Amino acid sequence: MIQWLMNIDRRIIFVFVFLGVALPLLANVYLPIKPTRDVIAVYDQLEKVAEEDGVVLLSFSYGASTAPEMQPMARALLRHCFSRNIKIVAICLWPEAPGLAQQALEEIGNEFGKTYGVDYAFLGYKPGNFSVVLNMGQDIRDAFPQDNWGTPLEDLQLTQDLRTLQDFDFVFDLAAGDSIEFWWIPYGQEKYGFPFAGGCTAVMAPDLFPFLQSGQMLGLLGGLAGAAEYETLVGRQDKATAGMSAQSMAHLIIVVFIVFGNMAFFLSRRR
Amino acid sequence: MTRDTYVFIGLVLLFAAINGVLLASGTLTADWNGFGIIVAAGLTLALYSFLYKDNPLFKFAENIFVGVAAAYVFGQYWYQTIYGEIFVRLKALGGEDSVSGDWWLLAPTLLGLLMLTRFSRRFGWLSRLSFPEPSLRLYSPK
Repeated sequence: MIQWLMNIDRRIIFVFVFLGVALPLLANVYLPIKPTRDVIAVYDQLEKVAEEDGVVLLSFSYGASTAPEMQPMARALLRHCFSRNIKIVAICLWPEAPGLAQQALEEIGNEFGKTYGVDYAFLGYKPGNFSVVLNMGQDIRDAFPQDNWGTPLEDLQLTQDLRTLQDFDFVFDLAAGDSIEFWWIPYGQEKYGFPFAGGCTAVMAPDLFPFLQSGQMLGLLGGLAGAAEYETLVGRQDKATAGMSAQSMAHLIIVVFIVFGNMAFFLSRRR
Repeated sequence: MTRDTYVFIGLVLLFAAINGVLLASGTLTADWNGFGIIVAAGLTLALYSFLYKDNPLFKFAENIFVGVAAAYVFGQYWYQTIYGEIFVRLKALGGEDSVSGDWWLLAPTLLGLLMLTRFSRRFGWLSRLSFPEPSLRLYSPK
C-alpha cells in the first residue's frame, strides 16, 4: 500500500482534481466569503464616486488565459458601477482584451438598461503600453481619437468633456501583467495624481502590496478571491464565488495528497 | 486497436452523449450559441487531453488556438491602429481633410516598417534603427 502511494500515477491525481473542480461548480456550492480591507477600500471609493456623480476609467489589461480570474472581477465592478449610475469609460492596453471587455460591458450594461455613449463608452485597444498612459495624461484624444467603432470622442455625450486622466474621478486597472506597477503607477498615478486602484491575478498580488502601503493604490482585488469578495460586497454571487468553491476544493485535494505523500515517504524510510 | 484508441473513442462518445442530453433537456440551445459552447468545451477538453499523453487531438486544438489568437491580435492592430489611424490619416495627406500635424505620422510609420526588415538577411540590420539603444551600439566604435 505504501509503495503504491509512493508510485501513484499522476493521472489519478488529475482525476481527483478534475472532480474536485467540476463537482462544486455543477452543484452550485457556495462557501462563506468575508471581504478584506483592500477590497472594501475599492468598494468605498466607488461609493464616493457615485455620490459625486463621477466618471470611472476602467482599463482592461488581460487576455483569455487569465479571463477565468479577471472576467468575474470586471463583471462585479461593472455591476457595482452600473447599479449606482456611475459612468464608465473603458480602454484596453492588451490586444486580446477588447473581446472580453466588450462582452462584459454589453452584458452588464444590458442588465441595468444602460445606454452606450451616455452611460458608458468603449474606446478599444491601443498599443504602446506606458506611452498610452502618458499620452492620456496629456490629452485623451491623442491616444484615443475615436471609440472602438470609429466614432469620434466629441460625438459621444459621455466623452465630449473629458480631456485628460485628471478628469476621471477614479481609475481602475484590471491587470494580468505588469501594467499596474510599470505603466499606471509611474506614468499615470504618480505623474498626474488621480485616485487609482487595481485588480490582478492571485500570483501578482504580493508584488503590489508595497503600492498599497505607499498610498499609490487605494485598494486591490487579488485574484478570484478578490473578485468573490467584491461580489459579496455588491450582493450578487456570480462566477467568482462559484469558482472559489472549486478552487478551495482543488487546494484541499492537493493538501491531502501532499500529506499522504509525506506520510508514505516517512513510513517507507522506517521500514 | 490499441488501448489508447478505445479511450479516445470512449471519450468522444461520452462527450457526444453528454451534449445530446444537454440539447434534449434544453440546457444547451440548438443554435449558433449552443454550437459555440460545444466547440469551446470540446477544444478545452482536447487541450487537457495532453495530461493523459501527447496526441493528435491535442495538437489539432493547440494549432487552432495559436492561429486564432495570432489572427485576433493582428485584427486588433490592423483595424485600431494600422488602418484606423495610420492608413486613413496618411491617405488624407495633401487633400481637403488633411491635418497639418499628420505629416509627423510618417516618422513612426517608417520606423515601424523598418522593423519588418528583420525578415531579410541583407537588410535586417535596418530594423535596429527603430530601437535607440541598439542603434547607438550599432554606430559606436568597437
